[in-house]
Amino acid sequence: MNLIHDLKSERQNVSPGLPSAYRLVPMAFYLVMVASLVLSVYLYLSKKDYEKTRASMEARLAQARAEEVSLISKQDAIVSEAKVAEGIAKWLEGSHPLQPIAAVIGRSMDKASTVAELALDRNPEIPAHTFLQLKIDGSGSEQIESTLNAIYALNYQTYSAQQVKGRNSTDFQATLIYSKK
Amino acid sequence: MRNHQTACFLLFVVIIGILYGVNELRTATRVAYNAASASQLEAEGAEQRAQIAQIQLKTLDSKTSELRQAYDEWKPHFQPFQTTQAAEQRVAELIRNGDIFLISQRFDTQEIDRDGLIPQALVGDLVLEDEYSKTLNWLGRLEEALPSCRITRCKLTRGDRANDIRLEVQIQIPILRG
Repeated sequence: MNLIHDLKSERQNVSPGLPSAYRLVPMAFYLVMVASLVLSVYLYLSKKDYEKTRASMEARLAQARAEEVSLISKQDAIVSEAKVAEGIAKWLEGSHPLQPIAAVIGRSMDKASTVAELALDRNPEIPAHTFLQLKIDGSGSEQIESTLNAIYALNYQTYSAQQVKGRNSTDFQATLIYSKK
Repeated sequence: MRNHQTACFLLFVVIIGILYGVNELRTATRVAYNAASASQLEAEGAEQRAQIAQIQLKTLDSKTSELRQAYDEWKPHFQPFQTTQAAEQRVAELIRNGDIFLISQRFDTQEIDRDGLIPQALVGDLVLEDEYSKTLNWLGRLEEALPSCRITRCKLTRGDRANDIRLEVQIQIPILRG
């Protein structure tokens, strides 16, 4: 026994223990391991969620853009159709039939009066304005009045009316404008 | 002592590495969040614009519906005349069918609106003479048969015979852009 004891001689410590601050390192390692694991899972799931949200938002964006493009093209179609319709309406505004005017003027004549000449000319600049020139033989202002009443019944209004009474005839001229009722 | 210190240093490096990795993941998550937020904003903006476009479309539709409806009703009267020849033929047909005495006729084309819907019109100068009611009825039938036409000049005077009238009429028939 003494022999063995003699072989194992007392030895001086080659490395003294770690300073207390160093002992925090392993503790910090475990703490960081656990915290980072939890945080990583949380961040990963969040990232996936955001990516999913982004994908759905991009789908919404694409759908909204397609809808907007479709609506704008519909608007353009309506605008161009309305433009064409306006052109037609503008044309028609200056295309009211003139035959009814000629017919009512003829019908409005009493027994003593006859239409010697009737001219209806559209204003080239404003076709809705029609210049009326009427020459009535053997009549007076009463005849003009009844003729005008017949024209008013067709929803025409007269402007710049002038009447010249001759010896046996009356000249009348005015601008006729159709007014919608 | 040196081994313990080395182990501590290695652990420290591992801790820094883990923290760096977590931070990278956090940055990536932040980027994904920003991208998702931007996409959401963009999508909401686009949806808002689509809603505005929808409202504008409805407003435009209701504002122009009457005009467009009138256009739909009138379109068939304008469409047959896409050439001056077609319009001229129609007028000649009406004169023939009306059995009215034609003194003279002259057709020409007139530019109306070069870039517009009606670039030109056929202008017909007709001189007719016949019985009073027959002539006036023919004029009425002409305007009825060609609702799109515009009589620009109409002159009625006494005819050569007692019951006749002379009708000088200038008619414009719009020729639609093809």
